[in-house]
Amino acid sequence: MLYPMQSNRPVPPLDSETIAAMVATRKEGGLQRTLHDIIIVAWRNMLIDLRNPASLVVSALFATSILFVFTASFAKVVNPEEGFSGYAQFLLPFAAVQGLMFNTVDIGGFFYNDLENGMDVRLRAMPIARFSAIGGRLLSSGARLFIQLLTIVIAGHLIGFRFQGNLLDVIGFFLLPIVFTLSIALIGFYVAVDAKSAETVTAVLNPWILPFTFLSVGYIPIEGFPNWAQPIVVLNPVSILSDAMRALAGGEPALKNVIIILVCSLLLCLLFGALTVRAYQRRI
Amino acid sequence: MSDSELATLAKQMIAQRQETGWRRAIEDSLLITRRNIIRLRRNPIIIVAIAIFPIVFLAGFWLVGQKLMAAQGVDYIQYLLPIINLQALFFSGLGSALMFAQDIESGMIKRCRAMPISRISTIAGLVAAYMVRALLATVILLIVAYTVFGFRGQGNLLEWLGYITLVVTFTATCITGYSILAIKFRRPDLVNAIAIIPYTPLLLLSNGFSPTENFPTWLQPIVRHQPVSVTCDALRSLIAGSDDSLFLFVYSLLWLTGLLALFGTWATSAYKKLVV
Repeated sequence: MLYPMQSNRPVPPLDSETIAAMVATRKEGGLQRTLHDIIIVAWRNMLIDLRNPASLVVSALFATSILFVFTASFAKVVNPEEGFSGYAQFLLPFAAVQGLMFNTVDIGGFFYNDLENGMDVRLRAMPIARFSAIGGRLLSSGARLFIQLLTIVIAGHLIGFRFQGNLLDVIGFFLLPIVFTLSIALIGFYVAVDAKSAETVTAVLNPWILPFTFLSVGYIPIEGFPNWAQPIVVLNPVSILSDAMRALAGGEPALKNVIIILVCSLLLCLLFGALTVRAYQRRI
Repeated sequence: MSDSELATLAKQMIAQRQETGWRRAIEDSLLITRRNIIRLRRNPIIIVAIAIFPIVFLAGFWLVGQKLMAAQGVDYIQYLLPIINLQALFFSGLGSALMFAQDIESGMIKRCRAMPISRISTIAGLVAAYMVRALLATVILLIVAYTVFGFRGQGNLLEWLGYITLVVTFTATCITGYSILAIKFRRPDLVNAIAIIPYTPLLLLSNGFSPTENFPTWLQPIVRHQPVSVTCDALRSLIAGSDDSLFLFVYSLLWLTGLLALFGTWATSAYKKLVV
């Protein structure tokens, strides 16, 4: 029953109209089909994360422990008068961004594994949209980042971090860093497509993340930096993102910084998205 | 051949293929050490881990903390160096756990067990290779701190010997402790993820980056007396050549050797039970 071709039924002659109709029912392109396939691949990736949650849990715990520990050790250094909760309010956006940034290394590694362990070959052989391997990984990474961010915010609540804005500010607080981090993750994807080993991805990404996070208004306000470093710190996207998230958490106007970050993300997406897709098409 | 002749022959053969004894253990351990060092040298990322990471952390924390700590009357580069050094040693421990887990997974440990080599040589070779890496990282860090950041030690030769002794003991404790993780969890990716759990609280909830007085009051006893803090205090006083350096050195050495004995016993029994 499953294989009607094996029966002796005569095969109808194929004219161009029938072929067109068959292709149409098995349509692999188009926006709707692409989105559908991306969601299926993303769900597959998320199931792997959920059934094997060590790396997800550790990435969330690591960022949370950075938040706790720096609040405990640096609050009195940065601002001797203010209590620990004041510093938690200041530090949380940055601790979150740093955690998400380090997650891009994991995400790049996962994408490399997809390409290497045969998953990608299988996806290419299946009647699904071409873009779904990259898109699905990107979407599931977004979910992964969201879980990490949510953990940090809940943990931060325990030590005095509070949202003071309206619902729109809170949504912005969650979406902005995820969008920016995904655009950074695309750099990781581009590295992963041509990488020779999983360690290459780590080695290329890690050394960049540290200076970017240290040289930002993250652990301490701008006045704490030596004078020569201050202009670099101000221009660092991590600083701008942290400031935007601080303003969103405090319910203050943040539009300028939000727009800068969105433009940065868009440029990164266009550049590295195009490079990744091109390199991906050339692979194999 | 008579029975007595056979027995003598067997004894001779065993003597020729001697697999136990101190000399053999050392020889075999050196052999495995060499194999591990060759593996380390062929992996370009190790250069990043040994030379670049500690320096990036030193520069980063120095930038962030220097001005604020100066307000508290702390010369931050002098204060910061020991914890960055200990962090580099921690990295060595993390790396050793990863290699050990890979060796268990790939069957290398199985092969070592099937070969006529001393039992201890797999572990000793791992510790020795990563000890080389840790000492190399320490030397590079000290040179860069001296030339670029203006770090200066005031200790005499004896105190520097004390410094090196603590570095070596700390590395051995760290690697032994991490080898338990590798034996228990085995899967390299899992070991890699879990390895930062002991590292983060021990390193960051210490007085290495910020003096104990800056922590909340209820945390201060833990921060003051946990092994990383005690070792950090000892290294700082040895660098400064201050009077309490002997007391702190002994306190730290007691902590580290105690932990080493504990981890060593635990790791050995876990390794014996390891069915590969």
